[in-house]
Amino acid sequence: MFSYGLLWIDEMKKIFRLASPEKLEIYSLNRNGKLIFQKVVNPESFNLKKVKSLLLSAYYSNWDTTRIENTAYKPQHHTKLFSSKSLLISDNLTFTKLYYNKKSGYWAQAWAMSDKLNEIFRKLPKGAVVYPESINIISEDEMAYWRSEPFILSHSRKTGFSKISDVSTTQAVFSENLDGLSFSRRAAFEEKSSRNSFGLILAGATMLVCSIFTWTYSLQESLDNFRNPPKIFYNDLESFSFLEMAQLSISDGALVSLTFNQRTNETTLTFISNKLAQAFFNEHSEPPKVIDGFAIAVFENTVTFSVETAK
Amino acid sequence: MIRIFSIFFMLMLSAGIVVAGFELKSWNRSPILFDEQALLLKSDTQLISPAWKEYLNHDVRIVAVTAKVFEVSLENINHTKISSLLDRFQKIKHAKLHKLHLIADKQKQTFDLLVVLTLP
Repeated sequence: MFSYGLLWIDEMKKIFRLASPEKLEIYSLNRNGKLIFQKVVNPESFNLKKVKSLLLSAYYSNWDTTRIENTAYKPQHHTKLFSSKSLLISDNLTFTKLYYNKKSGYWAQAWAMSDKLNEIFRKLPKGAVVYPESINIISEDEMAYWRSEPFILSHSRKTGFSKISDVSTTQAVFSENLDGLSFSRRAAFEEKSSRNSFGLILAGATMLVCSIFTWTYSLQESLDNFRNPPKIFYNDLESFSFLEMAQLSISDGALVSLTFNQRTNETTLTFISNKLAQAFFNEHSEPPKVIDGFAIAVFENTVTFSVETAK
Repeated sequence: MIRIFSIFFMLMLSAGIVVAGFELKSWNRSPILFDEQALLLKSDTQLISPAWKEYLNHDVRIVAVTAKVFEVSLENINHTKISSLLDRFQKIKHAKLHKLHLIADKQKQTFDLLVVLTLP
């Protein structure tokens, strides 16, 4: 268990440097923050899923520094201060956050092509940090040069960051790697892959599905009910009340049928004979048994009451 | 952090939308559940005899005349039930009562009832 813990600490202190597509350098980081070169491996055959911290050489990233004289001006960390210096469209580039060197008063920012950077991120485990070498490597000796393909770099005391040196004018010996140089975590590239936005897309899709479900399940129905509430009909049989009075004049078995017609507001009583119909008509067409509000008519064995206003 | 909050907020909102949908459905159904004439509010029960039998408490036969017009036919009604049945038909509120025809059957000493209704 103890040895596993040591192994983990050891892995954590390992720094990898992608110098070129063919060259992956492995360093260990000592307590003073200095890089100790271990070996070079081929990145194609190396399992990059173990890498926690990766330095990118100038082959993969570019950078610039500037001093802002107006001390009142404080750029936002996400500002792309040097986007105009790249020939590429800034949308295709990934920028680090701006880093301010308090000693020198210079601001620095690095950038890399998003496609290449995403390709590297895909090979790394989740949570791995990618640093541009130009901003994060420090040398106490300004005359120390190192190769960062395709350039030779040195540390600039003026800016506090790396600068490109012209190797032809420099007679100094340069190192092929970063052995002995200091590593300081100043600014890193943030993964801008779809993996980060996957959760957001998934949440958005969930919300969309839930909205569609609610719309089809109940909201549409509610809106329809609100716009077109169910019609209410009043189906009272208007002549029903007088029939209660008139039924005293109708002997048992005298009626064959009774029809309420709500469209014409008519009530028709069909008797078993013309004689009975006529007798009923005579009784209710003259006072005192005339029913107010209704007109009465007889035809053969039927007597019809109709609402007078309708007539 | 903003991204996590956004995702959390969207998921909470989604859950809220679904819960609101279920609540809305039960709210929509509540008038139907407590309406004894719910058979006329649902297209699948409007012309179904058992539903009408339950409402009128008598055997019925339903005949669709057109898509909206239908006849309700009741036979062998005892004279003691006539009044309550007429009352039932007068209380119908989700369909228009057009014609109510009451015919006496002397031999059986019962009545037959034929009612024409129109759906909205």
